[in-house]
Amino acid sequence: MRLILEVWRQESPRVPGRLEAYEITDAREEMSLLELLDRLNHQLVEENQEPVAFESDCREGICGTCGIDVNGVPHGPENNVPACGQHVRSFADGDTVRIEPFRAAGFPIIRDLIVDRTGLDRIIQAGGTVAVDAGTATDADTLLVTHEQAEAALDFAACIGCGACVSACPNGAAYLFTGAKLQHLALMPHGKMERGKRARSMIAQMEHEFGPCSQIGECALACPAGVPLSAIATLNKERLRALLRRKDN
Amino acid sequence: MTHESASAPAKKGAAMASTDLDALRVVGREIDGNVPDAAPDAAWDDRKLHYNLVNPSNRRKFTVIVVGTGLAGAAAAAALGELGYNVEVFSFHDVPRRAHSVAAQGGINSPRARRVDNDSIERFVKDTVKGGDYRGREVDAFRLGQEGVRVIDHMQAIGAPFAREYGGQLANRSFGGVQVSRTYYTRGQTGQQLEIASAHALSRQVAAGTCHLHSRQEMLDLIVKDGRARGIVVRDLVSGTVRAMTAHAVVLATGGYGHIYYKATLAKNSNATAIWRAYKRGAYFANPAFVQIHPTALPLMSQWQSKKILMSESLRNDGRIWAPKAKGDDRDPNLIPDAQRDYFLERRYPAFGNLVPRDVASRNIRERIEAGYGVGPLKNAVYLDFRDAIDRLGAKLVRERYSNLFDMYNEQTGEDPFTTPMRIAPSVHFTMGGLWSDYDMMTSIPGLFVGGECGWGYHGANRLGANSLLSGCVDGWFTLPYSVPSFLAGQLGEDVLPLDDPAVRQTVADVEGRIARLLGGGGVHPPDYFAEKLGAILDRYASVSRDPAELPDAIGQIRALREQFWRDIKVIGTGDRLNQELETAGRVADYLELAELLVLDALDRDESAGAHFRTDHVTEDGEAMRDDANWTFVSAWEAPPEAGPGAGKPIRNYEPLVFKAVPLQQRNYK
Amino acid sequence: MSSPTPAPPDRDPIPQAARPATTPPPWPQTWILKVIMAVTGSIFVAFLLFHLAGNLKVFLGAEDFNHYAEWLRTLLNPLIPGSGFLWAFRGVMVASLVLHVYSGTTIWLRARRARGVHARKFLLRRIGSRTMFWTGLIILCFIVFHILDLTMGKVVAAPGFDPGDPYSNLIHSFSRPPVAIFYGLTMALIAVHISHGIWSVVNDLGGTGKRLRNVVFAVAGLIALVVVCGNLAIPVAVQAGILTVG
Repeated sequence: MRLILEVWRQESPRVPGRLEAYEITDAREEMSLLELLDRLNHQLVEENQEPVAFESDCREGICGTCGIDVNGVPHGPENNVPACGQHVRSFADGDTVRIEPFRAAGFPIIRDLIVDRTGLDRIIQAGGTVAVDAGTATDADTLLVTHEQAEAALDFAACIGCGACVSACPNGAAYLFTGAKLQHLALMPHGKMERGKRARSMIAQMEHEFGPCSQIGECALACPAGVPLSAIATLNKERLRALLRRKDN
Repeated sequence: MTHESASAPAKKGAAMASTDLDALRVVGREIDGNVPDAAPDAAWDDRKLHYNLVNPSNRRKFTVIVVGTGLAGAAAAAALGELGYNVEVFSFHDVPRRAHSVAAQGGINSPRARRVDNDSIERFVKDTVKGGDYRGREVDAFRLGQEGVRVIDHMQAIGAPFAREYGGQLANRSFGGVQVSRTYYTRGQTGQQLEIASAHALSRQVAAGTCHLHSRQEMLDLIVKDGRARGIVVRDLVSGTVRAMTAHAVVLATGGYGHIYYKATLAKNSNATAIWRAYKRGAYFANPAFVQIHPTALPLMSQWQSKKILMSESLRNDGRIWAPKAKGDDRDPNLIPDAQRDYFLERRYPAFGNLVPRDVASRNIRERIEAGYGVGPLKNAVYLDFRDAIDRLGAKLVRERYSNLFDMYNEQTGEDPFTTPMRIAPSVHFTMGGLWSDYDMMTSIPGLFVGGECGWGYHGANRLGANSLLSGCVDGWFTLPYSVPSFLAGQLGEDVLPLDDPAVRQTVADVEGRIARLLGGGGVHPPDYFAEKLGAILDRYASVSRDPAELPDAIGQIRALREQFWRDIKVIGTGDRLNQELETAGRVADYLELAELLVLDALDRDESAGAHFRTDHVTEDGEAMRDDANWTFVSAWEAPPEAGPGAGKPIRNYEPLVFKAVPLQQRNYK
Repeated sequence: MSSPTPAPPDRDPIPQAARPATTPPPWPQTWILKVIMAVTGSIFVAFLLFHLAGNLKVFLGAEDFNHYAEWLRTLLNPLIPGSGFLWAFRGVMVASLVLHVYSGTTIWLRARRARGVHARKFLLRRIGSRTMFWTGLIILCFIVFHILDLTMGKVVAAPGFDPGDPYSNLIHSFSRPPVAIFYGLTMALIAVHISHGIWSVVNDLGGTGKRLRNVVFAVAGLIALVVVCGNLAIPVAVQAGILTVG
């Protein structure tokens, strides 16, 4: 089938970008959107033009490397699916598909569709960790964790760190990401030890680089890992808890 | 094993080989694995007792470079940082957590032996050694089992939410044909949870200032001076700048090279450049031909499909594998009556049926496809059919067991396995081979260590399911933090190599020269063109089975392709900025060299072992037949000397393998 | 356990990934603003329900309505003399309003900055949440109008305003069609604003329980519906001639 791709081209962070239109005449329904970009790049290279720079790695939905905005929606038209699992079959023959980088002030563009998402990593560095050194941990079987609690922790730990939540958010907020981490670690036996301290430091770092939450809910619709919106309430709960308890745990 | 018997393989290899083989390689010397002189189960304790220590106040004076932030790399960096060493961490990703360890699904083995199913460390060693067809070190497997016990404790503590029983204890299950339950898991995303936990532990050290993270930096060469690893040369993937960093020791944890087959289950960016550059600088490469091929991956369905995706092996518990009895039968599978279906695994292996080991299943599926019975648009798959399971168990139970896999299949193909049989095909997904290392994880270049899949350890000729996550964790958390400091201890007071040292400058110049050469190619074909061609050659000659009569042909084709590459390569853009074509081109250039060594090793190893199936070494039942008398050793390939009698020919050194706890035995699955 | 050891510059020419900030983020932090908005917003919702209950007394006739207005003025007499309570109450309302508007505006400005130059596509999902600033701004204007009209009797009030006869003031004001329409439209906006506002309260104050969240989500809609229907009934009744002076 035939598709018109309007792709964001930007040489570097310092120069302005623009949308450029390309035509793909042999797109196939079973192609993923990343494969569609592969196809486009193949075509560009044949014409001796610079291919579109975009990121991807595992291409099976778990590494969180890929990230593009498709017609203004992070990852693509299907909710809760990463770009590598979004397919051309979502579009009709002759459609125009606009492909842009993830959009947020916290994600500066490096080149074309590649953005800098290390801001999320700095939130982790600020406190999304557990202070247990190698070899010092106690026997995991002596720490009882209910089945339900382990499953709940996994619901939030499933975050693949792609940044779609930030890009989906009209406020450029990283609440879903940060809340998911806080909730995941708050449910873990060792993670509980630094619960208060973690909430203070991670949220402070988050506020440095990302926007405020207005409870819009776009993030949870975009999230490829299906992190529930309640992660946002968790973030506020953890922060208020830290305020009221005034303790590290 | 005595010295006489150890040197026998060299003679044997030479005697068996045709003149072709002698023209291709030189048989080298016996090398020493530096294995402790103690009983295998006491070896690790013995070695730890003999390791040198570094005073805590001196640790920050030592700089260690860690390349890669997967399970092994992130763990080694974090653990060394926790101890107080100055660690420089490099990753070509934007953030550490994206390393391909995330994609492992099934679980992580640990012989904690809490159940009464009679598991033990010894049994784990037996399973690992036998599973690897006796081509790995038994003592390594002991360390893997012994340290594996506390890996679970540590990973749980730093954030991996392992599945729990209703009683609150860790849940585990049996996996990959093992008869005991020793696999711990977090739903179908064990790799992802372990990787996130390790990357977070690394982040903690980054915040503490012990680890310095350099992201979007790709290692392109190793700096060696006076026979010691002294640093690395990296390219900044954003600015294109090539720079060096020197250190007291270098740890490579850069993953496997399976992507050399072009469309494998590996991530798009996984590559062999770091280990191949180390090989070129003098590190030995162990068993490059040992490549595991997984039977149940999604096949390629179109030219543009970018990679294959692994579907869990568990599908074979209830799915039945078949191909049409008639060649080229392209009817809707549901319209093919039972009488016209060939359930070939059940037919050939009545006892194990669809549950034969990975390599056997892969070979048989491949045989059907090549014989013209393949299905799907590219005729490159067979059916994995759940019709009978649904009839027998009901759709509800089948959904409970496999819903996430069925959803994944549906997401990728748009077909529903409940109504249409799945199409599957074998795919490369793990490389047992890698840089050779001694018992301390140090390569043949002093100061250069390896961890995880980029090394060769533990798995021999075939890796057991759920052992790869374990090996990454054990290497990074509980082996390198002991062995690297012991190496550093001897260098107290020595400074790292200055950046203006001639050895550093030369290595940087070499890298810059290589980049310039790639950019100045003839400009006909992009790098992917060559990667695809190379993948096709390897797939044809050196995948599920290897025919010694054809392998020299493969080498000729690879050499021709390599020549064409340097003549015709087209890299659009420049080197002074983010250029993904250039990145790919450099990786493909290294694959084109590694591929020849892979095929050469397959030709050289005159036996079948595990995943290495030689068509001239087959039992009466069609199984792989080892030649223990002559080939119970690790091939450790040394880069060809530039001059002298063997110029241009790789040297195959060998480390004899000794089995004390698990006596040599032939595999049998009939 | 380990001290930071920054490598000297000549040893480290390779860029490092940036580390977390060492300074505190802009004050007050957003989560504090959100808590302020949740608390003050809750006060307004409680006031709205209270106000609605009072308003509906208009249907009981002038005497009851004016008696209720007088009761309000003299509430807690003689403990607090005169209109003391009413003024204290007004003080709380004004303070809440100032805090609510300040927090909301600050959040809105921060959101615009964090969004970057590329506006999101309007996906028509949760329309209330995306329009909070604008509905809030119109409601603010309405509050000013409403106080001038019916409390102070200045500028926009209907002719013949009598501080002692709130009932007649109300009927006269709503007899003007533009005022009735403006009032009705504002009520619709208030419904949109508070339905999202109440739902936000549970999030901003950290309500994570599944049942709690479902209940609040439903209650938010219900309260919005009650407020809009109850309050709309009055101008409709006036325009329909059901409520008249005398």
